[in-house]
Amino acid sequence: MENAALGKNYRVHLSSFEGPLDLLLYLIKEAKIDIKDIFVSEVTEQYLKYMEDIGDLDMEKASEFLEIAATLLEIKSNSLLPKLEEVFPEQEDPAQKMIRQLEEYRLFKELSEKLKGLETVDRYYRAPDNSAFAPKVVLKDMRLEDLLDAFSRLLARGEVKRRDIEEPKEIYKDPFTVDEKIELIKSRLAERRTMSFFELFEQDATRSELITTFQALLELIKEQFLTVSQKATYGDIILTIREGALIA
Amino acid sequence: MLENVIEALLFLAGDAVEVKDIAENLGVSQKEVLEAAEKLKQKYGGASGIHVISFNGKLQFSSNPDYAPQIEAVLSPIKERELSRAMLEVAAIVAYKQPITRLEIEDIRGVNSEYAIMMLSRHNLIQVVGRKDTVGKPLLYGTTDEFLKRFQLSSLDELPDFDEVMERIKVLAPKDQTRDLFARGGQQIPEKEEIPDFLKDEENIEMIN
Repeated sequence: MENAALGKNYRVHLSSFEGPLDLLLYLIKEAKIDIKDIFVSEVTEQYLKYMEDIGDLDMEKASEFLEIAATLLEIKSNSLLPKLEEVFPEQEDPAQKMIRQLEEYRLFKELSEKLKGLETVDRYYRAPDNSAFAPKVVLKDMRLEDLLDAFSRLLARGEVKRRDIEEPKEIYKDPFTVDEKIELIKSRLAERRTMSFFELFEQDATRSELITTFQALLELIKEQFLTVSQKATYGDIILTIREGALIA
Repeated sequence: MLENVIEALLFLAGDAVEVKDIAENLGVSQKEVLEAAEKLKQKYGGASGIHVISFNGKLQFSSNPDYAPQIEAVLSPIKERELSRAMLEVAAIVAYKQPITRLEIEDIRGVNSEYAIMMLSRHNLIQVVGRKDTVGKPLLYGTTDEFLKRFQLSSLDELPDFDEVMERIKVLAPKDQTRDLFARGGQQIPEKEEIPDFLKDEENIEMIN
């Protein structure tokens, strides 16, 4: 009970508590009482005194502390007023609720301390060596020929839509490199995990772009970055990122 | 000897290998695999530079934590930081109460726990395991294999005082089970959204969800 008499300088600062329940548990421990006796002790007054420091906290944290302060005041005032008919009988009595909340939080605080005792960050593991796994796993669902067939089909589609080959006036330097396309496929799959082969191309993709992208795809298959599968002959090809694939 | 085979597998795999996979592909029982794993643990435990760890039905080689300082001096691997108090609290709550929603976690701690949950997810210590079938269909969280590894547990029932805590949690459950924020004095929220009267005659209604 001495704590209530000590001035501000002798108190543990409000910001060192994880939250209002943390503060209440601290006060309860200092007062050497049971949680269930909280409302017949000075703990609630002590808590309210701590609210003097509330200006030191950010808005969010401050509101969390104030919410509990309001609840404590409500409980206090309920105990001072004559008992009214229960308006919502199925709801928990706020005093009981607070006691239960404190007991539950204390349980998990203790458990987190025990977990801390078990925690280790000192173990290291070897990353898997991809070359150890046979490439046959990758093309299990589809053969290279099917992949080439699908690509030829795409090229044919590209031929019909081609705009740049009608009257070659200038020969443009191929703006896409295989490496760039590798990066593109990697970043798309990093977001989407799985996608269709044809989604890699715009409608008006030039032939060289198609070929470059296809080369990138073959490279990534070799690198075991992704797997390819096809549901039906001439069907869409689905690219799926491999579990454990590293996005450099 | 099966344990030598497993030794080679763990060395090559790097990542954890499932006991089930080993048993199925080698045509042995899981019991035999586990017995062989025990022998391996004997061989590699103690002062050995390599340890065999098991968690969630999987086996893996790990470095001996005692040599972490030297390993870090020579190889500079990426070292994880220990969890902050807030993250430990959230991790503990998720571990014992999973699956659990963010709101339920915050009810226990009495504070906003968004940041802690985000960081724990990022470190792959907790993960989304589904959605709760209540208003808003909030995400449910559970622990991961990485969680087990970090706290050196083989399985969740090795959590400290597991049985007592599970009992205690039941005792501490709130009296009003429908902790629905929008409950109006006991009125139930209907499972499926009903089409309001004034729209009943409309033809092109499409229910979202």
